[in-house]
Amino acid sequence: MPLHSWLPRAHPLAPAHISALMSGVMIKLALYGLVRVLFDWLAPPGLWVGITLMAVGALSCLGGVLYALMQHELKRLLAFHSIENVGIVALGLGASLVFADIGQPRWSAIAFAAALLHALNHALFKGLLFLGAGAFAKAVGGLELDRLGGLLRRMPWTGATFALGAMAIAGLPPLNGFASEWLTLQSLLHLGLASQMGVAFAGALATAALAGTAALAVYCFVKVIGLVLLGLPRRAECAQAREVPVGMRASMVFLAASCVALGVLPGLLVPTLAALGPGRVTLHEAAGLNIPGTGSLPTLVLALALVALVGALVRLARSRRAAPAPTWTCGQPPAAGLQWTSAGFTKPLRLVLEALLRPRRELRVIASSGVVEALAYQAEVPHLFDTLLYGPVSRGALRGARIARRVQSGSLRTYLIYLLALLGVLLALARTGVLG
Amino acid sequence: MPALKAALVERVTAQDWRAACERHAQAGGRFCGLFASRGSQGLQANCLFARSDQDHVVCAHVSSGAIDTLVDLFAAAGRDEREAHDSYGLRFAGHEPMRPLLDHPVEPEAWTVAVHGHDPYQVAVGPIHAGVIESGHFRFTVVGERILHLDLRMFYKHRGLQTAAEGRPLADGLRYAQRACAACAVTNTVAYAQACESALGLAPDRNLRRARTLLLELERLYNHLNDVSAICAGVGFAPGAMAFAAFKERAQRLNQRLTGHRFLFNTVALAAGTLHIGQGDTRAAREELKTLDEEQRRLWRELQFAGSVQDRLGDVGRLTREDAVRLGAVGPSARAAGVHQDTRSESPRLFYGEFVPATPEYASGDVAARLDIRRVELAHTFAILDELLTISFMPGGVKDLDAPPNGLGVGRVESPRGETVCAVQTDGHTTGRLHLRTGSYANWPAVAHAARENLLPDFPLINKSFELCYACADR
Amino acid sequence: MTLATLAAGVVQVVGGVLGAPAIVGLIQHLKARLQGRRGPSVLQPYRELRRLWGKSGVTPEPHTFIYTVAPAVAAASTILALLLLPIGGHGPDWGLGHDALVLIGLLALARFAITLAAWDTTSGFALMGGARDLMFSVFVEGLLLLVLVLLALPLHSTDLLSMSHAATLPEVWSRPAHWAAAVAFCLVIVAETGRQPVDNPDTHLELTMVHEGPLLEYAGRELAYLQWSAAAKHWIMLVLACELVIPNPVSFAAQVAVLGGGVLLLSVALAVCETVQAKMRVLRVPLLLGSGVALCLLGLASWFAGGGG
Repeated sequence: MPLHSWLPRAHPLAPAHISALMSGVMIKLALYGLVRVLFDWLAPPGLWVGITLMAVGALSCLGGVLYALMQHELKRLLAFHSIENVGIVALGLGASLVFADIGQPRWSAIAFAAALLHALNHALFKGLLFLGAGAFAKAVGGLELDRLGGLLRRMPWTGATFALGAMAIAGLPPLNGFASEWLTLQSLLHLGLASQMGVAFAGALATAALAGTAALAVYCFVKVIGLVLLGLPRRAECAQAREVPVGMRASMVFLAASCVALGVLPGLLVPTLAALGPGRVTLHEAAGLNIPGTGSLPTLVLALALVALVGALVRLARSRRAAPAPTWTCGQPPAAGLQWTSAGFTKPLRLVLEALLRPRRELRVIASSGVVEALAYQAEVPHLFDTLLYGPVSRGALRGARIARRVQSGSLRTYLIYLLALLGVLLALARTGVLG
Repeated sequence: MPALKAALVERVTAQDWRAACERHAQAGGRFCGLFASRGSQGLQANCLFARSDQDHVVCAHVSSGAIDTLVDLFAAAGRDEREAHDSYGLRFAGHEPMRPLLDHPVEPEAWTVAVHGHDPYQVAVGPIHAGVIESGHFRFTVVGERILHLDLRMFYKHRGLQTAAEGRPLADGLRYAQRACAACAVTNTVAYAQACESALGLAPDRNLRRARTLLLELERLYNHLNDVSAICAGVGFAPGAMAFAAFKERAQRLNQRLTGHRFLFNTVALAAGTLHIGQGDTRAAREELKTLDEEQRRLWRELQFAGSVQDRLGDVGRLTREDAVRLGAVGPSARAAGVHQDTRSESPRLFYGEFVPATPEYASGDVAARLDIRRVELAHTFAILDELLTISFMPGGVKDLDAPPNGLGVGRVESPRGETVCAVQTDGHTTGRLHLRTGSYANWPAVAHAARENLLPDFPLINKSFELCYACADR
Repeated sequence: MTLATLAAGVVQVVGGVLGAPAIVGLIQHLKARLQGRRGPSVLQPYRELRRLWGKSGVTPEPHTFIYTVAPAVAAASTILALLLLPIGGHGPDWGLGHDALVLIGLLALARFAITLAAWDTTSGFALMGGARDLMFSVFVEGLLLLVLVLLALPLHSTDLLSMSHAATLPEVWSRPAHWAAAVAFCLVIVAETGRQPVDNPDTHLELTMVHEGPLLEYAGRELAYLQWSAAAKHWIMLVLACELVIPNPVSFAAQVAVLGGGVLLLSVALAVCETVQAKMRVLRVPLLLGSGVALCLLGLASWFAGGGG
């Protein structure tokens, strides 16, 4: 952000495996370029570059996830999450630069490692989610969120791996998204503890922004899992969906396993990544992340304890008989019209942020002779970067082109005059010493 | 104050029905109910109008089974027409779509307003609630937190009381009217008694008028105190809820001491008085009411300064004056919206003297105004009770009115929730048709309207600020 | 392992797992008393848990394994969060560390599981509460992190043990940054424990529910897990407040005494606050939390103004 406008448009058009590659690798190329420029060629680029990178990162991750929440189409939603995750990576890189500048090489290396780890993690879980989306598209057709539902029962493999990927991208323990977000958050928080006031404020604000982003991501993927995988099927295709072939399943299971592995054993990779960073700092290898200044993240024990406790508690509860009953609707028969929609679940946030998101809505009453026949409701959340930034820019560019066209007469002589005039100007400039 | 006259019945043909009703409306008549009845010549449609001189009833025989609708003239007639359609099979030409009211079809499409669009969906609340609440079903069409539309389904408590009263002696009808609902027992019975007395050409004497007025105000007192408690509970403000619940309890204990019943049951008789309160009792009651008044005034001040409470009330559940008039809202909720109407000021059969309807400080029509109007009305009620209780109560009686019995009587009484209209078609000394249109019945459409465009979690508060009965609307 | 660490471990488990419902019971009891009612006994939550433990569950239609697993996930992550808490500045290393952000992550996992179960049963009331809870969480988590920044300032660590140690430093209470953190943390407590003015735990009105909504579909032992988790969240939040925010004496025994007194005092404060305050309009809550954010930034500024760096 704000140079992201193409992404949510490109993703829905591309086939799933291309999308997976796009977010996994293509976006990372840009990041690679960024890292090369900032950390190699320009090193050290100065404090303001780091702070700017953090600001852009914070804007991207908050904006990305906020617009992702408002989307109604799965792939578009995932594309906005790519923006969010690149923002998180940028936050880490920015923090790394700032740490390097204020003379904390150790944290600089950690933040750098956090950014790289998150970039890697993003490639894994986003690839998984896009493959899952592709599988759903193959099974049921469209990916309108409000027209899916109940797919976990019909497609248990795809559904379970997709849910796992969603948990990972939402940054929930004990998966890989949590490990890298924890690392990023720790670096930002420690930036907030710096002794320079400006740096500390940048760190504190970025910490709060990333925390809010993480909570928003949870919000978003609760919505996605709920609408896609759970509840009742919202159309016939969903009720008859078929699980995809083994090949597709295998690749998803592989990616899901990688998400778990990197979530449980991030400590095996982080020292290597940190060594690539500007400080050339070495961290000792362990399963979890044990960094001085934090309470440590023993991912392996955490994961094992969670799994064991959940297992034990489920067993304890299972020993009781459970009576089947329809979902409670206050004594009314459950009906299709009672199924929640994407817009409904995110409405509280949209109302709170109405001033920021500027949603458009219209409610029309169709009535004749005193009796209301029906109502018509229409609403959308316009993409503000499109309407406020790119709209005027593209209109301006077109207007500029119209003006420029007047210069183009199409006759050879005019062009020769242009060339001679240009030559004359250049010579004059060279003569006066402006050029050369 | 209009003179004490019986209702004027105008019999028209089915073709003239609509024109006759329109004429009454143009002459300043206020629509206050429409019902079907079955006479010797078949179905009959009846429409009630309150005019400044006296009550008017337009009656038309329906031979073809269908009659012109009035719903485009009076939106308030919508529910009445739906009820007449469901229970008498009377069809209304031009009322499209005719959604069932008493009948409960399973498919929601049959009785809810369709809302087109991708985002809206429905939320079903009731008839079985998590708390102890009367049985009504609310079907909200929402997008998340915002209510787009609310459809009500009631009549879960329909006991057929009106039909059960048919063919019974007129005096027995009191019991049916009383059982419509406990919280409005006095209003309903007084309205019924007035309707019968009007039909028989009788008028209550001074003692009877005083006694009935006392009972009505006692009923208003405990109801209003209860409503304030409910609004406080609705915003989760326990001190207010507890204090006003305690006041309500004291008012009900006073009822018990004065009349022998906490809900004032069996205190109204047809063409006769039953209330006998000695000088000592009235003095004690006056004292008790005085302290109660002082204490509740103190609580009102506290409520006014509780910022967290006031913060919840403003601009929630707004009902504009135009909508209140159009939908036929009555009672405190209409007055809170700026409608200057209170049936107590047009009740020659009661002892209100020159009564002036209450007005809230700001007639904004929101929850705050509906709370405030209760503060003003409680002050009126305390004053009226204080004045009434200066002398003792003797059982009164009735005197003959010069008008001959015309077979149809109308009684209009202001209940704590608004005007309750009772129409009785007599058949000699038995009830031919009993129609009870309570304040709650008239106000439910206003609740549904006020809820629109509000937040879903604010709805319980909006509902409590109207605090309508379900039972006396279902009957 | 010292004796103090061992004792801290015992308090973690006994206090957290067994004692937490008593906090909820105490608040309920005090509230009733303040409102002129006799109210239920302090032990009422235990009776309810025992009753639920003996009852059969419910399997709504539709549901998947998520509905069954969610209460266990919520309870398990709450248990792990309990074990991260410092008690009197000590805490045994269960192999989980004592990181503040891990604790927040675990609470987020619990919230995720519960709201996901709401989608699983498609219960409208559960989703309503879940959506509101998630909306609040965006602002609560942002605020909580800022509070943590302020509390980590003295010793530059997010290790809960050393943050607790920072609260024993004599100069802590003379620093405005700490005050700001204390007040902001109070807002977090109210929001996270679902108390008025953010949420009304006593309501029976489905439409106004926040934290209660997603529990509506559950019965039996699963509901017991969820109710216990809600009670344990009170314990977690109050203990954190006592350990990190209230200035503590240095000796372990005195610190534990302060902890006990602090939890009691904060319970009373919650009961009083809930009695005198009406519930807020749902959309106003972010504003309340936003004021906490402003306070934290002010605190951070004051840290530098005081030359604290």
